[in-house]
Amino acid sequence: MNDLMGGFVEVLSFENILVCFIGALLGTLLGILPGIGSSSGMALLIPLTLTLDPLQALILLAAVYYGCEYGGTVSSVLLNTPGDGAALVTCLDGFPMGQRGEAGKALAIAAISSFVAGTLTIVLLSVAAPMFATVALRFGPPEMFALILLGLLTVGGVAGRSRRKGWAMAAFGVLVAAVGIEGQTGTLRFTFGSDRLVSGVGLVPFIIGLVAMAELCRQAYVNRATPRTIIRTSYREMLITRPELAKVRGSIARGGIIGFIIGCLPGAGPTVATFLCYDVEKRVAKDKSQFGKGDVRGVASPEAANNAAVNGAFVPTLTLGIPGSGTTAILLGAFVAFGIRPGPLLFEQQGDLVWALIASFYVGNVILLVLNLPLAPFFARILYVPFKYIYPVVLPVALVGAYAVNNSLDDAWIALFFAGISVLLMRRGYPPAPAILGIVLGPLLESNLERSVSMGSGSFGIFLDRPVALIIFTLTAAMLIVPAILRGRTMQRSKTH
Amino acid sequence: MSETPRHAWGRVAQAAGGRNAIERLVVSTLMIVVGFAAAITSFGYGLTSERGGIGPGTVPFVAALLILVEGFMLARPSESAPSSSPVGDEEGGLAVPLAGPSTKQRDGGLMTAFVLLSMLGVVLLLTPSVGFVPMIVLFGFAAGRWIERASVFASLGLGAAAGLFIWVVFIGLLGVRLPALPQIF
Repeated sequence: MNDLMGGFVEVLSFENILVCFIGALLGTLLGILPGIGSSSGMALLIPLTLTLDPLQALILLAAVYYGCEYGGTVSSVLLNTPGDGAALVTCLDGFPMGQRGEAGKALAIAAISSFVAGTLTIVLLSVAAPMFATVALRFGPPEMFALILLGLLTVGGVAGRSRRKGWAMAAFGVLVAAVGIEGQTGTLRFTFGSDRLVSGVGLVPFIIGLVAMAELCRQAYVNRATPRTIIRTSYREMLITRPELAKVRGSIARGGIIGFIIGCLPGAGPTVATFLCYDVEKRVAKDKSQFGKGDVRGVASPEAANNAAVNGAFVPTLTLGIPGSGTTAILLGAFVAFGIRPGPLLFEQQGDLVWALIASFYVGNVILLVLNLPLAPFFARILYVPFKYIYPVVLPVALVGAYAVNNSLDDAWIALFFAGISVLLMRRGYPPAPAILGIVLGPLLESNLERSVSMGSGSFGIFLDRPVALIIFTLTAAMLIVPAILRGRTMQRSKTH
Repeated sequence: MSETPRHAWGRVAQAAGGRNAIERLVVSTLMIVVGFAAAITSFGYGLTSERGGIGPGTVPFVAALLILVEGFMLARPSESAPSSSPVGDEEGGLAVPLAGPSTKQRDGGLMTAFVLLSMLGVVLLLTPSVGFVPMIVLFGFAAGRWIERASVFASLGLGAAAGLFIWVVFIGLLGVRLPALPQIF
């Protein structure tokens, strides 16, 4: 608890609060605009933060992340179009509430649920993260290898519709990470005789191209609709009665706790958490008839889960260096770009930074509440800006951002190259997030495998002598096999009926 | 009876089983070629080290194999076209069934995306002599005028906004040393 208080002391300076405010505001705006989700938003902003102090940069990027999660809610309620995947469930009841003139109420419930669950789960994060880190500190190279493999397979698998495609993208990221000089033997790999590739492919240009530029290009043809039926909202509608608050109390608590646990699982992320919590809410509700027709619990639960899962996703990211979602994979990339390696040692070596970052989540939650309740009607107006007027400005910003990392046109070309590849791959349903994970975790995977095999005098049998590694491998295998078995059973059942 | 496409590209696509089939073929071929080449190259780096451990080629070899296998899986005719999501989905590929592009928009989409990327390529090619800011103003104008069919005034506004943003944020605020203007300045 002292560490957290120290974090608050660090973060409660004018500059840090300002940075947090800017991040939360930018995140909310990016989340509202259908077409720029948290992943693309964060990828766009990484180069803009490189001149900042690392703590301020990470505070800003984290604030963008949770700001985006709230921003997505605004377009869900007012336009029936979620700003990102996690806001999809909110459409189910948020938009019907808006249609019957309760848009302000839906937005207020969403803001309050996010705040309460966010606050609750920051306490859980403060407790869980050091515990995870303490356990992980005892891990040797075999355990770390097993853990990284688990992370790659789970995030690679859950990140998109198809597990197979996620793994292929993770493999693509690992392959890109192999470009350049190899750490152990000094072998030059995939440089094709070019001096420019000796130091490898730049992480930030790779992220900008693969995620931000490709997504903007994709949205340029996908996001053609001109908003016509945006529901209007006003401050008067945002008043919530005491019985309404009492009705959502349980939903927020359930959403918060389940969301946090799901968020902690590598690969699950906020989208899975919101779907699961909405389902749980429907199951536990005595009167289920209003779900899907504008039930306030159908807004409170997924919104609480969303914010809680964002906090939960930081547990594996900070303590194990394995991101809990696609966006935290990009945040992990930002950590690496600042020379900070998340993992078990982070709390020991950079404790001040981590605790200040965690404290900033709380400050960010307060800012979001203060920002979102009064400004929701103003934010709603942003929805009127068609995407065709956004991407011609943002796309070149991404390109210049890639250049700005090292003042190098080569980096801009790299971003453009991977944007082209990503556009093609996304058309076939390949999610870009696992590739980010691959490029970040690839070198770690390789070095831990090398060290493990060296420990075993050249034998892979070392993994059989390490019970924790075996348990993680078994867990990995179960995560691969169980869904396949369940899918097979479901298909068999549907055939017999 | 299906309508015969007017454009040559449309007719070629129809003859080859549709744009979807061509796209699938292109992506799977790319994967197979990249996977195969990377696997062979990785093999050359050595799968085992002299001390009996893993060699510098082991991890890239496994990654390349996965890509190769995925390429073959994608090449199967049973592989269906994924639906596009209208949102910038956080998890990078979740289908959102609320709204989405029409088939026509989706079919023309790849061309739009590659035209945009090619325009950015031209921006990069000419930047050393013309400078980033004029090229980006031109990009904003061209994207607005010819891709989005906006009015000349609106397109000029887009170009100016893009150029101004780059100038204010990157040069003014962040102090990035951009080749912003033509070299004569």
